[in-house]
Amino acid sequence: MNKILTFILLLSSVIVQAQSGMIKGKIIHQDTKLPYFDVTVTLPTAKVMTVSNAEGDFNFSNIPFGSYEMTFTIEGEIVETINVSVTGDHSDAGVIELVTVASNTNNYTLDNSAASVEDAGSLDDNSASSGGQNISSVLNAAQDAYLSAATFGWGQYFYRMRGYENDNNVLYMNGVPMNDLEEGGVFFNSWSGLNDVFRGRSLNLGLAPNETNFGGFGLNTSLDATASNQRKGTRLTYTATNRSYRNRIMLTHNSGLMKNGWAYSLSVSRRWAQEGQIRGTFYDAFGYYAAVEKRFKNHGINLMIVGAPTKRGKSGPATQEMFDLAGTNYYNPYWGFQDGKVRNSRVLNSHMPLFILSHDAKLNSRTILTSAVSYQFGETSTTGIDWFNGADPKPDYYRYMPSYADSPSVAKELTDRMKANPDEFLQIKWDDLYEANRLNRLSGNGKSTYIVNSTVEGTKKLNLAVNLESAINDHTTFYTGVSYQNQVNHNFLRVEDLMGGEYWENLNQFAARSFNGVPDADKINLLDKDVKRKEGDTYGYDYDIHFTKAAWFAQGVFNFNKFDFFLAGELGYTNFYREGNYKSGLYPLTSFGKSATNTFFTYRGKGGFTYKLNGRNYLYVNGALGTRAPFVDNVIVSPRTRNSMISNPTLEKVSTIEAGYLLRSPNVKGRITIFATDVKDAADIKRFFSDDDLSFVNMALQGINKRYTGIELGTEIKISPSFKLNLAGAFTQAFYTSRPYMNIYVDNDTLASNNILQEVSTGTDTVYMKNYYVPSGPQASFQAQLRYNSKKFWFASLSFNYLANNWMDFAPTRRTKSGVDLVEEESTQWHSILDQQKLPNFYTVDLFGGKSFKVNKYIKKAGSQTYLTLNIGLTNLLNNKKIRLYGFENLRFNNENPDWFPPKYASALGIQYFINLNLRF
Amino acid sequence: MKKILFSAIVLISISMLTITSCVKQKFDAPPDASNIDPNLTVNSSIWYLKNTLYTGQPTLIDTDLTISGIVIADDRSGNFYKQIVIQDTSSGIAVLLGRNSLYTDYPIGRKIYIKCKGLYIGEYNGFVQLGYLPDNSNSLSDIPTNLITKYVVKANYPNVVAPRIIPITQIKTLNASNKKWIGTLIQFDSVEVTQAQAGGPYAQDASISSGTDRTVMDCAGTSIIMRNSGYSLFRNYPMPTGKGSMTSIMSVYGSTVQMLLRDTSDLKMYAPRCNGSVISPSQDISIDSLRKLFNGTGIMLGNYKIHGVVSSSFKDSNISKGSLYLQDESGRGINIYYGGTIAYKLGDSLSIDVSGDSLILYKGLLEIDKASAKTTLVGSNKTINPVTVTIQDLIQDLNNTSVKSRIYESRLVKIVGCTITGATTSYNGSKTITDATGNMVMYCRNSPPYTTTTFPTSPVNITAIASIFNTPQVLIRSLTDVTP
Repeated sequence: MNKILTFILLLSSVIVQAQSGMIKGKIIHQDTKLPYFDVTVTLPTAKVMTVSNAEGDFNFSNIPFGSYEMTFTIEGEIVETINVSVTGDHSDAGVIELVTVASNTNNYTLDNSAASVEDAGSLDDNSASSGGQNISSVLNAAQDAYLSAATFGWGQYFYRMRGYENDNNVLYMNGVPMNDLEEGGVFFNSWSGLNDVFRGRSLNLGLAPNETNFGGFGLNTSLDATASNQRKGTRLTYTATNRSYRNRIMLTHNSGLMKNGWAYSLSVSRRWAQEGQIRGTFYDAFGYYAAVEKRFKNHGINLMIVGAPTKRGKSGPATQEMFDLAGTNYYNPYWGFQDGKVRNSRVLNSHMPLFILSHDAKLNSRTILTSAVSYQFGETSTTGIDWFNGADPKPDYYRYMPSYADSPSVAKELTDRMKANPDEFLQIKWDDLYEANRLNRLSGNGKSTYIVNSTVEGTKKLNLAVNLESAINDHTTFYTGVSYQNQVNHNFLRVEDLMGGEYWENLNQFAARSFNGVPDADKINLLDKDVKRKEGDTYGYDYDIHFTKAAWFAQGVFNFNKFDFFLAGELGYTNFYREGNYKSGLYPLTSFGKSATNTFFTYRGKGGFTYKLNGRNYLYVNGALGTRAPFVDNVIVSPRTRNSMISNPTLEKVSTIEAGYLLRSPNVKGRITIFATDVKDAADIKRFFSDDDLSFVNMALQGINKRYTGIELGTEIKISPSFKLNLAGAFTQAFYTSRPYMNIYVDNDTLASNNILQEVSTGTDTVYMKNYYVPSGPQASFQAQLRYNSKKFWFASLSFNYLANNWMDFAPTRRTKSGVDLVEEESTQWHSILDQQKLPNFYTVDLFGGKSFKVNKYIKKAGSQTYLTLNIGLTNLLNNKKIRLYGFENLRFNNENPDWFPPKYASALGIQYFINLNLRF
Repeated sequence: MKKILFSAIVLISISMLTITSCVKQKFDAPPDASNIDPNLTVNSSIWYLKNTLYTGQPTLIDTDLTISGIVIADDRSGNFYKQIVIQDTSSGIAVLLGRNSLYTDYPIGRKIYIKCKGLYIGEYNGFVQLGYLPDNSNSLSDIPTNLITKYVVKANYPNVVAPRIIPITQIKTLNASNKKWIGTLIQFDSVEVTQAQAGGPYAQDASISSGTDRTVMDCAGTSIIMRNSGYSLFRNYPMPTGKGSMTSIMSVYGSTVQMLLRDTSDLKMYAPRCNGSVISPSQDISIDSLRKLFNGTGIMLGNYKIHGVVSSSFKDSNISKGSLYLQDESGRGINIYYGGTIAYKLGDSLSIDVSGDSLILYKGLLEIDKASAKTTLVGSNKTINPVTVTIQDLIQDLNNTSVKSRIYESRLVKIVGCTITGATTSYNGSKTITDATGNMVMYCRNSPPYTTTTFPTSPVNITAIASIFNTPQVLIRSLTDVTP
């Protein structure tokens, strides 16, 4: 690696200057003569590419003098090729008229391919993949059959590109980094439902250079949601579907860039369902967006605001026993009847408005400076039921299960009774919970035994980014940028509904049990004047996490006739600390106030080389290495209770390499890539109730090493002018390559952590998880898609997807010496404790189609630019209801009764449809 | 045209966005069911089940018998677990229900019906119960949670059951007439907890005993057992010290009558005791505060309690049978001398009433000389982190003539990078440990099993109790306290 870098550096110092110029053009619809938006324009031999803007304009800069073939691609289809030549500073390709392709401007997929998945499961909202919108731009990504299959075909089945966690996928919006500093992922929910205005995106998988940042090692997405980039006109969309929501309307109006240099864009949307396809779920989401932009001669300024107030009832994973009792894989334990009406206990509420002010300036003909500042604030919360000195209200609590009964006859009796009365025994009994509170009140005690609470995370984020891009000469483009992010997350519990009681008591019921009689041990906050809490009050825990991250990156991209190469580096600084707002009775010395600040310095470097055999065949190899700061959740032992940290938090070390072959012939386009990535010294803290310690515990794994390796392939074969076949597949192996050490830190244990800030664990253990698979979705995937494009403005596509090797998440406690203590090696029980389960392989068939109508053909009075577009989609056409999306072992493990805490699963929905009607004028 | 179309669409959209707010999520509270009595036909009495139907062996009820009763004991305080007791006009019986927090559905005062067909009658050492399938040892199982509503029907709430007010003598020994009262609510007036137990905890922790017998007496000296669960939430509360009434459930264990409380409010003992005396309650103080009470000469302690975690005890350490070291969150430690043999072990969390005990210097070490026995086990397996000190600082502190100013005495300390030397090569006896700042004695009794083990000669870290036996010394607890 070092030798390659030296070589590249040497090369870069002997670059010769050559003459180059700019070339521009405009694309219009042949029939309407209106600007043609979002057409990919490529100069294959110069290996540059751009996309036409809302006015149909495109331009390239720094093109060496010479003659070129220029191709125009719509929806992955090369529709036109012309010859151009660059002979001076400014060349003009003129106005190019292209035939309208029906599906070009319609997003024929819904934005919720990810949302429905997330609903079927209970994974966090960040699990949303970047599903659902048209892919364009960037040579590597446009027309890439693999990316398209991964996003549209497999994304909804929790497929993860290269097996990477979401924090390896980086998203920039209008030039500002959007990845969360706490968990690393992107919170798509804060702007979901506004597809019309977030269509301008570029995607880049892997290590190729990005324009505004160093990028992640996975998928790099850059969204352009500026006002001038929105296509002029008004569009109204209605969608009917049977996913997590049933109805959607969107209304968007864009001014386009007006003669006075102004542009504005407005969009609103609403998605709703009284009940989604899974029982007990509902959906109620708005979206709003407004942007205004002013273009001056050499610069422009854009202000954008976006928000998506969302409220929806969730569904959750369950055990096989519950699926059997309920008779359906879509059993949802989160709802129950209240006075005869369905009520969901887990309601997600989210609203986090985002403001971005961005500015771009052309400093000279070769240099562009962009700067942006964003501010986002708001709250995301999920409701739940909390209880004090009451029975567990969850219908799937293990002690209520037939499997908990000692005698087979009682188990059978329970099974029969529960099956016969599913609404009573498999769902939450809201009426009983209200009655418990009422009886308490009648006995003179106004304290609620049961309440509905909210787990709240309030966020304030300030992001700044400044980037400079300069074409130093004909062969060299230099990029550099700095970014600064500051984030404060406020975490607490809030009383939402006292359910008929008068108040809730802010006391620690676990401490009241295990420190019975010790004064103040059960006080959650010693500073409380009154432990009584009303609706809207904070209780349970209350702390802030403060984050700061800054980074500087620099990158050189060098293009020559036969080869390209690039070199990029980044230096980063991260710090975070906890600030407790409660002084707890168990941890009076470590719970309140600021913790020590954790500071990490990181570096990353990458480089790559592309050899161009000719304009159609490319070979490339890219490599990267660097370090990454651990996430706060994996450093602070128990953020909800105290400031103390794990001993010796370390930087993660990442090294990765990819190599591939790219073919771009007129009839066959394809890409094949192999990759290997090593992650070392990662840490992970899992928190759960331990039967050994009879307490909530924090299980910290340190020294986790992982390897991700595989091959991915995508090809697009033009069978005839109308028929196209896409083939895509990937085979990945993501697995652990070390035996991490595990420390368990018990909550509700005062003296252990009171006197010092470093925690003392109950003992260090080794987890034997080497060569277990990283639970990262299906690790083998295949898609074949046949697509027909009619000249008469309609298209249809049929795809077949096969997904396999989805390995379940496993409990480290089982893979320790004590987990298999006294169990005979290689016995059935030994295997049932240790073996990692694989979820069943499956296939699906999807069908899409669409047609576009020119309205004034039917209604003479309508404007000539009025179009009506109909799109329909049918996914999982064979209605396979046995697809497991994901599964995970219960972290709670009882050696004597390993069956008490079986794994939980979530299933993908059966056949789904959408009908999308779009009117634009 | 375009304008009309545009405004129409805007209008339609706005109305769709707002008017069709078809997702409704506000919920009313469900109606009150607590005043409804389903008025099932009752065709049996509790006494009939207990006296006629029950054979002495677990008996399946295979006929359609329905009883009704008022709940007189529930599990709110934890003194009852997975059972409630109901009473009708004939008698009372325990009902085994396989769930915790039964009080949220079946609180004291709720009327319930039980459709008995399919249930079993059995007993627990004479205390008759209604439950489910018996196991091999003839104990009834609990009615599983999701079968409860098949047998138990809720009725109105609240109802008041007046306790039977009788003197202790009437039920002290079982006879034909008071047998019926087992499982019913009984009240004694003018009784008190015995002098030795008054002010002490209701019960020992469950890790010592699942239940503790306490004695209640009337002024004539007739006594009866009050049996309190080690799991009850009030187990560590002090029992009242005065005289007054006691309301409780009559129960038996074999032929011994024992009374079961529902909660501490069942004891209303506020008047002066039978002999006219008043015992005042003790105050919980930190070990730091306790040490500061010492003013150079031995004193008798007032009404105080202390709490903390055992840092060294005979059970698993290197000290005499009758004493232990205790340390609390104030970071101070104290030696407590009980005499006899102590059962508490390392890591136990204790609450100790030291009222009337002596705080004295014994061979230079501050200790509590304990005469009373009001020690409560609160928890176990707690860990204490040692504080790191140098030998110089430690000796200086332990030699401080102002005893109450010593901060390391009787505390778990860690000495880093010291060397052990001695006349013999085993741990037994007095050894010298030396670090960069000085040296002092490490003492090891000849009783621990490791006493013959050879000590390492290379530099080690030592975790030990800082103590004094005329001169400063440290006491390791086990070999794991010495690490390279």
